[in-house]
Amino acid sequence: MSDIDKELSEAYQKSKRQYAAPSRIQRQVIREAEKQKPALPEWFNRETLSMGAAAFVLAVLIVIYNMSDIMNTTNPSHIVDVNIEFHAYEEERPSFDIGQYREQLTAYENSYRQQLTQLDVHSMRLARLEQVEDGWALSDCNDVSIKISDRLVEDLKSLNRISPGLAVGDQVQLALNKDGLILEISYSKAPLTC
Amino acid sequence: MSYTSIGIFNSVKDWFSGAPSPESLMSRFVKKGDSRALSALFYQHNNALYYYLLVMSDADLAADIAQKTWLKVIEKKHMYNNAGKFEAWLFTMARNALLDELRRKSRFEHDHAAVDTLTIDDTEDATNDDFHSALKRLPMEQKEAFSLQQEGFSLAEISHICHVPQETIKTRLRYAKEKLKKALEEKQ
Repeated sequence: MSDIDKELSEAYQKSKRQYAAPSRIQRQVIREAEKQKPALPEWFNRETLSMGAAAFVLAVLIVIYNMSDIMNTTNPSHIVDVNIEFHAYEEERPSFDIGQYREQLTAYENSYRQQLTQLDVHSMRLARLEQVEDGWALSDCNDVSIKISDRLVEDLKSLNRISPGLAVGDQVQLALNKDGLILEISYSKAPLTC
Repeated sequence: MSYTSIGIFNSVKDWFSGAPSPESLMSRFVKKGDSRALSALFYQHNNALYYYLLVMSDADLAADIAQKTWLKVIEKKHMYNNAGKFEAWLFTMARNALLDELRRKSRFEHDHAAVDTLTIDDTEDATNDDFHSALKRLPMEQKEAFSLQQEGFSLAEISHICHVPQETIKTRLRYAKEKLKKALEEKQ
C-alpha cells in the first residue's frame, strides 16, 4: 500500500469512527432477531444428527476391525506379577491401600472422560464379574483381581460404556486404551481362557 | 461442496482461527436461528455498513436503509448463498435498497447502472470533518467505489456489487483518490 493510500485509509477509518451508527438500528434488529429462536434444541439439526450417526458408525467399524487382533491379546505383560489391580480416579487414591508388592493402582485423570467419546481401543481383556456392590470386582483367567471404583463405574454407566443388565457371574470384556484405562465393559460370550 | 461439508470446513477453519468467520456466523443463524450469531454479525458489520450508506446519502436515510438491510438479512436468511462472502451479500442488499429508495424519492430517474447521476442534499452531514466533507462531495460512483474498497472489498467484488467492469472501478478509484489526496493536502 502506498503512503497516500495508507493516509486515505487512516482518514477513512477515523471518519467512520466519528460517524457511528445510531443505536435505534441495534434495538430494532436485535428485537427482530430474538423472534428467530428455534422451536427445537440447537443441536437437533440435520448436520449434527448426520455427523453423530457417521461418528457412531465409524466407532463401530473401528471396534469390529480391531476385534480379531484384540481377542488374541490376553494380559498386558506389565501385570503378570500383580494380583490386584485397582482402577480409580487419582483423587480416590487414599481409599486404596496400595503398597503391597502385588497390588497396582491405575489412576484415572478427570480428562479421561473425554476419551470415552472416542473409543480408541488398544486391547481387550476377558474377565468374570465377581461383585457389583460398592464398586465392581472382576477376575481374569490369571486370577488377577480387577477392582473398579464406584465413581468410575458410575461414570462409565452414565456414558453408556457398560452393557446394561450385567450381573455377578457374567463374563465380560474390558476394552482398554493404550494406557490400560478401561473404556468399555461389555457382555462377552467368549470362554474365559488364557 | 455439500451443505454439510461447507459447515465442517467453516468449523475447522474457525477452530484454527479462534474466531468464527462471518460466513460461519451466518450459517449458524440460517441453520439454527441462533440470534447470538446474528448479533455478532451485526456488531461486526453495522458501523461499516452505516458509514458506507452515510457517504452515499444522508444520516436519516443511511440509518433507515441500514435497518431495512439487517431486517432483510433476517427475513431472507434462507437465500444466503453459503459459498459467498457475507459482507458482499450484505452490502449488495444495502446498495440495492438505497437505490430503490432514491428512485422512489424521484431523485434518480435512470436505471441502476447510471448511479453516477444520483444526487442528494447531504451537505448538513459534512460540516466539521474535512475528509468526510471531501468524501461526500465526490461523485456518487467514485465515493461508492472508494468506500467499498476501504471496507475491504476487492476490485472483483466491487465490480460485482456495482455491476460495472473492473476497469471502470479502477478508473473511479483513481479519480476518487486524486481528489481526496488534493483535499488532504489543502487541509495541511
